[in-house]
Amino acid sequence: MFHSTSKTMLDTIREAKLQSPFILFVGHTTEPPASRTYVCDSFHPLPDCTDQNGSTLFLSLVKSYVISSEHPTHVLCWERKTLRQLQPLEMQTPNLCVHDCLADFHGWINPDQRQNGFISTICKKLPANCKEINLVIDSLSNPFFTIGLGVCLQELQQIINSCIDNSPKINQLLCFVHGDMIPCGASSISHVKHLASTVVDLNNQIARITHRKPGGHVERKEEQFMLLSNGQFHTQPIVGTGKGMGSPNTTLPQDVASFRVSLSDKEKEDRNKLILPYMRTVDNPPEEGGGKVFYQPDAVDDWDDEDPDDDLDI
Amino acid sequence: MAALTSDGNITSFQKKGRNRIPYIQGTRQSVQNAQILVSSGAPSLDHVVGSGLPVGSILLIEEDAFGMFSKFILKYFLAEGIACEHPLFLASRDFQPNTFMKQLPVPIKVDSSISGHDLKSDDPMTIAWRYQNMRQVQSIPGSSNSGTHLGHNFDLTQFIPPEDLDTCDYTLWSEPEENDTPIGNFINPHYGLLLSKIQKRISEGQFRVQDEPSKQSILRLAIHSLGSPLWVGSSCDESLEEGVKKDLPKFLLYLRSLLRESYALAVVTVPSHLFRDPSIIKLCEYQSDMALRLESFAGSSYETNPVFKEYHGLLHIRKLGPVNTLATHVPESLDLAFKLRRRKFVIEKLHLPPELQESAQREQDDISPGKRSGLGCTSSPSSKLDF
Repeated sequence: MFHSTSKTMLDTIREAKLQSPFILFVGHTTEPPASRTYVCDSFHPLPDCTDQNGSTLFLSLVKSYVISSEHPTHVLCWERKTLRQLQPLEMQTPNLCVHDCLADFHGWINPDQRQNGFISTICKKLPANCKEINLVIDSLSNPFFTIGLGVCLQELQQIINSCIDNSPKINQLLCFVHGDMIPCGASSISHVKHLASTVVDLNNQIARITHRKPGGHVERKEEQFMLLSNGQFHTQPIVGTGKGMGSPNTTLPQDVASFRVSLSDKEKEDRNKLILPYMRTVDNPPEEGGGKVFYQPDAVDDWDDEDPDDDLDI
Repeated sequence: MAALTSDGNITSFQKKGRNRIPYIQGTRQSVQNAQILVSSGAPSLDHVVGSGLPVGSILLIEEDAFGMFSKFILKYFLAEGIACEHPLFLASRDFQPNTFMKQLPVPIKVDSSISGHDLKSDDPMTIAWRYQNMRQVQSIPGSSNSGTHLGHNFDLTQFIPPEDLDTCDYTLWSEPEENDTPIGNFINPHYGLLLSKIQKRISEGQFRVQDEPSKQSILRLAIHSLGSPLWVGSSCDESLEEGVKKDLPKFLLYLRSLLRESYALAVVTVPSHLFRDPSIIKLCEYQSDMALRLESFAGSSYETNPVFKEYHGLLHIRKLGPVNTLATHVPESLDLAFKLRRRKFVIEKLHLPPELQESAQREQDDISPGKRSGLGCTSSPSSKLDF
């Protein structure tokens, strides 16, 4: 298969090789299939979010990302599952630092723990010599409610612009957000997406990626992902139907003709030697006076200079 | 409004009063309404809005989906200001104004000898020789216009040297300062803080109409992405749109009244694609003097459409308000498209590429009409006279 040679974008992100300051993953909860019937009418379980909305993929991606990236990665955890899976990994990987933001987010136990921003939360556990780090936030949905949407958006933008005082340089920012868990309704997700340079919409095992290159060019891709039992995932690009991509060049005459359409230089020269009628050349200057009209008046001709349309009321 | 009376009146009527403004660099007086015009930095954009931007007005730019081309328009606007030695004011909460200033392009040295004339010399026509001396058809509006030249062309690949930037007079705003007091009763105080900063700049720089500075100049205000997510106030979490809907038109109204009384003009970009409520952008258009909408093909299905392969996007004229006159400027065509070359931003009349395929179904039939302005020579599909 020729696809195996071209790397998918999700793989590029996983290997920490995508040049993008802010990658946002948006998880969408898919509705359970309509055909599914429940045995008991009174018991409607919520769809199993963890497997359907893409957070598992994000977690799996972060694990590979931490190992591949050359910079230390700090993970701000607002999800219980992420915390439980990443904390054992933290022991083995020196490049990973997990922050538990869920335990005491409002500072009820320890007033110092009260969160009022992302960077201020990291700074407490940051070694002094740290210069450049990656930041992973999983997920943004909780701080949007606890810290406030406006404040969060402003801090995210400041992180991208790297204009926060006494903070390390953030090399790359990876965030996950639940598309349906956001203040002011699901429509405000477009505000969050507006800040991101790369948006990955995860929906039903399909990732729709919109990547803004630094030059301004926008790349859109669709990739299918499959979670494997060992916690990894496999990706595969979805080949477009080809509509609109059809090359119009194939219909140019020189491409479809069975004979040679163009002329060589020698042939052009020969062609130019031929003098066609009505051609303006040195030997054949244009005649003076131009054309003349010879008219033999008829016997019944009304020959005067009167305007024949004089009687018309125009 | 700052109208200029000069000796070069075409009519026999002579206005009384002395000529208060001798000449301001980088400006021209409008023939229609005696308004001082400055260039937006892109000559073809000037032509579209009526040979220049009137001083004292607001040009509203509705951003394209990724905000790329609206940034270029701001860059041109500011770079033109530097080329004409106009003081600048740049406000943005989305990016660092400092870095943006460093990326401003430099003007291209005018070399008129190579433009247009070299096309004639090569390849003389032998058969269709009568067409040899025909005028070149210009699809770029305004390029055939003779007369006093306003505006420069800029090279986007070259950034302005830092030492040139140091000599410029510019003010940047991204964060409110401690001692500012907001004007107006805005939901998000940042709008009021920005206004107070602008007002201070106008009065300190003596740009008010009644001021008599030693050297008159024009203040160029560039406000980027007003009403973007970064303008969401920290307190208004209950509804994003409500705050913007109240604050944004009000801000433009305040700004407009400030500009009417001063030698200043503003280009304001708004991310209109983020507003779900269409009445927000309607209100903003109402409160500004001119409004243009950029529709970029980047990332859309138009990008691969062969009809639009020459262009980067469409330009929709939303409003050209009358300034100092009863009638508005009417552009030649409303079907406009833009393309960004390395050394030029060009707005052209939209024309279709030559048809090479001999198929019954033509490519341009795929595009649904009504997306674009209906003023072209396209007939609607429901019409009985569909040919």
